[in-house]
Amino acid sequence: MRTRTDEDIVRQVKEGNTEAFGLLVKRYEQKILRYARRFLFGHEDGQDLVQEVFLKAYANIQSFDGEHKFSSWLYRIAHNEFINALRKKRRMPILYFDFDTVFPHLLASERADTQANEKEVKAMLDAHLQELDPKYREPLILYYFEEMNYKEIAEILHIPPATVGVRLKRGKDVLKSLIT
Amino acid sequence: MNDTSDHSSIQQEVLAAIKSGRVKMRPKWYFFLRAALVIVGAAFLFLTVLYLTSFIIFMLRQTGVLFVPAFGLRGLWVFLVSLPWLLIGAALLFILILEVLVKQYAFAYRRPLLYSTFAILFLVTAGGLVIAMTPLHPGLFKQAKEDALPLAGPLYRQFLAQRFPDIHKGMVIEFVDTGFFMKNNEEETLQVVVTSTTHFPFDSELYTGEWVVVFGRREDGTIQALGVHKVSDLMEEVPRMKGKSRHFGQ
Repeated sequence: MRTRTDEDIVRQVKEGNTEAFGLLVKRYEQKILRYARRFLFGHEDGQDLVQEVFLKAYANIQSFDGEHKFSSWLYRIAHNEFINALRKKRRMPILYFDFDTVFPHLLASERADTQANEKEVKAMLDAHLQELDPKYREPLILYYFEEMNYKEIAEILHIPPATVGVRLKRGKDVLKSLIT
Repeated sequence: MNDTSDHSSIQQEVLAAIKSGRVKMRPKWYFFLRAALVIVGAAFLFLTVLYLTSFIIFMLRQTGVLFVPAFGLRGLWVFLVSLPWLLIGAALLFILILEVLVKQYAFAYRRPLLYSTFAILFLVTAGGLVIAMTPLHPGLFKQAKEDALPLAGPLYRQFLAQRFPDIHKGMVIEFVDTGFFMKNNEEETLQVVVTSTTHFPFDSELYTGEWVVVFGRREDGTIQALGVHKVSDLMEEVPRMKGKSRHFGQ
């Protein structure tokens, strides 16, 4: 049973308890590895990148102010690391203007998918991840595999929550078009 | 795929890197300093854009360009081609950099880009208008003319000394049958020919001592006025004294 919250452990790490950081690594490395493998889809060495994510988290731990969840903060570091890796290998444009974030969207209500629907989407994702644009792939992974809500995904990707809904919908539409 | 060995090796590698000193925790003051630099940078950029915007507005008023859209489509066209596009481009570039700087903060990225852009544009425009109405630019322009403004002097001299072919700003000095005479900032006396087709957008009663913008082609010292616009310049060096008047009626 988890007795200490992530934020409690972060407080100890900030005070100099290095071993405590090992606990955070233990809690999150599987999740971040899974996220890496799905998002990068074998293009990059996920393990090295995940290691780099935790090293960066440690180096910058004093900037974590507790305003957001530690998990969101860590996933944000992972997101930046993975995007940079894709850019280095030119699998993403270096300068990339995101039109989705310019205009306001009506916030689609975050309705929980039925179990069957969720299974169907996960199966489609597993089969066609590589074919999806990273812009859609990432929120779909975070929503369906990391089980995050719109607000959490918005904090990680630094986009408005309504844009998360738009990308999820478009991503699912693209997936459906791939299988028909 | 051996998840257990992945698990222990990543944790071990990370802890080993920390203990060996390969990775060091950045101190708190590093992040304070970084935030302070961002704030100072953003403030500097904002003030620069504010200054540029107010300068552009002042320049448009001073040269008379601001008033020519009142003269119809041709006036609008002349207005567009007379705008200081280099300065406007520079201001937009600074606004873009400012947008990038603030985008890392939740108050900016949680909302569509359009909102933060509009907010910045609104603040800059409103602030620029307010500053343009103060004695700041007339004072700096005066210093620039006296060569007493080291950095911004060339900016004032270059942009405010511009002549636009169809735009003429001056003070009414005398009325004649064909129209009136006016004196411009270069101390030239110009004859303005007013005809039945001359357009007065707002008020067709003019006074000697009043500043006006005349829209029309100049040939030597005579302007065929397509339009005349009164200018209420609060910051004129020579205070306006209402002398004789003439109504140019339809």
